[in-house]
Amino acid sequence: MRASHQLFQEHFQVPKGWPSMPTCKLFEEAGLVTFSQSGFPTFLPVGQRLVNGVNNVIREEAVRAGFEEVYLPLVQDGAFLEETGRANQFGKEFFRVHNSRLILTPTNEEAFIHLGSRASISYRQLPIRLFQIADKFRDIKRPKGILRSKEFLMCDMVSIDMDKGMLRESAVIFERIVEAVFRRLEVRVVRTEKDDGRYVDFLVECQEGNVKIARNPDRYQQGGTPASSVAMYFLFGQRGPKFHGGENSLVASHIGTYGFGIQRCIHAVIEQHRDNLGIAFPKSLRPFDSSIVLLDPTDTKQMELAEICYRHLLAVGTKPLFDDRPDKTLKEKAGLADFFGISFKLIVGDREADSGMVTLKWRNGKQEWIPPDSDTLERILRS
Amino acid sequence: MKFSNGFIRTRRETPKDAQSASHKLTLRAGIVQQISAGHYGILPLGFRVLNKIEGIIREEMEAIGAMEIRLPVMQPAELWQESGRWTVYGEEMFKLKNRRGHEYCLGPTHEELMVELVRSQMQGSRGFPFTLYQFGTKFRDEKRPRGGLLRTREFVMKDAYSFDYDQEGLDQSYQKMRSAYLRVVRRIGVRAVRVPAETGEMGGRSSEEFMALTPAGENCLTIVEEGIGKMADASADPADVQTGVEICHIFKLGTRYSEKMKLFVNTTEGQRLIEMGCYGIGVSRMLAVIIEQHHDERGIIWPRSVAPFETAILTIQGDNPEVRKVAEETYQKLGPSAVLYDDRNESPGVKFADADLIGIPDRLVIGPKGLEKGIVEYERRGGAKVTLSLSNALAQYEQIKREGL
Repeated sequence: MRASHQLFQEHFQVPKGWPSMPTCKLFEEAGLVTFSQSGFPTFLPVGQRLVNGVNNVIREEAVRAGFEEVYLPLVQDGAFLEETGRANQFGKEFFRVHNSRLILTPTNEEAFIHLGSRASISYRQLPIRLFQIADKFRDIKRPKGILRSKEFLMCDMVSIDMDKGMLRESAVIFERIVEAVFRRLEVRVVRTEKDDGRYVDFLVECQEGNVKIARNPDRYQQGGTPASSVAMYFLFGQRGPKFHGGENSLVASHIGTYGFGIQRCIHAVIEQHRDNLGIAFPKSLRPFDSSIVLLDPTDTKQMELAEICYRHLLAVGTKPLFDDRPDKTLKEKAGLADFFGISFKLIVGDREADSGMVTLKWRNGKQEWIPPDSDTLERILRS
Repeated sequence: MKFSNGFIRTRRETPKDAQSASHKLTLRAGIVQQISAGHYGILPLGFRVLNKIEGIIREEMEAIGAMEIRLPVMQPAELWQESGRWTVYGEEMFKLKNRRGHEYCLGPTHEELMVELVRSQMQGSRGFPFTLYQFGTKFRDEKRPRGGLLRTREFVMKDAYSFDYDQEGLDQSYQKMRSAYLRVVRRIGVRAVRVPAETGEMGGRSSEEFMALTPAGENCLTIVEEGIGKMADASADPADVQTGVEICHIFKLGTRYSEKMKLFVNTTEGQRLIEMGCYGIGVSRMLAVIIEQHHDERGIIWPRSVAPFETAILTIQGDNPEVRKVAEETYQKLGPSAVLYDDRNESPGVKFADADLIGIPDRLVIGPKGLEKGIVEYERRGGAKVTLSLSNALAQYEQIKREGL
């Protein structure tokens, strides 16, 4: 990404006073997200890379565990929720389309069940394990940054199981997905449960959160430190679509619903990875993995060398930030790279342009003098 | 993936109300399921294709330096009133109110929100030119949704918007995007022609549509030269008229929106309005169009670049231990994400019919007779068959994929 070809240039600097800034505000000040109206986030280029990053981690782990991805409409017949008796649960939070029975989906269990029940199921086809990553809509009263918005991204999952045992198995598989996802995102979560483990919540400590957890000598319980829920599941029990159980009998299936709040996951990553320089993103979620700090973009020799570096970095399949802005100092450009957690910078100035070598500076301060060829860069990226 | 673990629902009978080939086949092969009129769920097989189409588009967008963002689906009425389009779409726009009575629409397109984003973020005249794009769901309350994914009320689109200082800049951004679209269409395996088109409710200076040629199309056109068509008028010879489905539409909007919504930069000569372009690809419609162009009487024939799985493993006497062992090994070696292994306890007839219907491009057939002779069969969906030697089957298969038969 070229910093000069950026509508969002004003964000390409370290936000003033960021160390004491709550994470929701940091999202806006660092140019990851903006709100044209309260409750409706727009993800800007760097923020969108984080969205894609989290989506990919969840998608990979869910698919590896045997869940399959689908698309379900964002608009659905309000009657679906009436049928399951959950319409009241959302009350005024529904967005209803004018002159129709359609609502914007606040949740998708009903549509999943609909998918399952329309295709007549035999016991041999169970379990069915599906997921989707999509926008959800709730007209909530007090939105709060990307933690609680009216339009928000969720990964919803569902399992349709033959019996209690199979449902438990699905829950165990989901717990493994949760573990793998947060291991890759390098986020510490706390597991809490209610109703004999039918309702399980995965929380992160978070000053801006709207639930509470308290540390107890053995386990975490509700109450105490503010927290936010990043993943959860609920085992509905035997309330799913009917299936053919053999010998012409129709039996109701067991269902479980599971989910990740994508925006909250990103929030948790940033909250837990803030350090003295900025955000030390985990490897799985880096918006950029290298940066080219070009001192003087008006100098042809420097520009040529920087372009070579940029091409090589793109060619070895990385995500470089090319800081070619004319009106920023070395300190500002290097500071920005550190703030975004970029692990190394290639600095290109007069000395480099004369020699054809570049200064490589790691985020931890170490420095090297290297030839910017693709073999060397590839070795550094893999290290 | 193993067939028995997948949410795959194939049907033998042709659905009554479906007319176009893609509508029939998407329903029969379990690619989609209608949830309510004009709103479709896309099932796992279809979703894999959708994901691959998105991947190809994203690569081509990044290659021309466009930046991905994500705008809300719900858009406030005020912005549409400002651009003068709140009433233009009429009944086709889904409208709603929040709990305080503020009006919104579900975005049929995103020009207004884009302009709002740019004018709220811009710092003087810096940063231009640039192009932003997003993937997202769009809404149009069609009176008569039809043809399965060809015309729906809710669909997935990739839309892009370019912002330039002047007309020359816009011309360049437009050309870059047009070439990127040509590459996308070619990589996806769709035959399309470019057709100069009306700008309609979008407004602006000029536009071109990419039309995929198929009998299921609603637009009549004639081919002028290689890759370029024109809308057919009354003077066209009916024998030359073909039909097409619009898959992409690119617009030189010019200052249509920047004028109404006051998007300008200050220069020494005064205010200068920003020149805009907008560019859309119908992603979910593309899925249907690929099927329209790639099928036979037995089912779908996916191009490799977008196939839900590249390879199908079919067995004859799948419960024979030797057959099972070879199939299982082949499956593991090729990798579960690229292979659909039909491990069901069904007759070869059922398995072959399903494989034909689902349309995986390559298949490896493993049976007891072949194994006795030390061979595995390779078959291209809708094409030739060759035998591979068991000991060297995967290397031979890789060679076929690289070099063709």
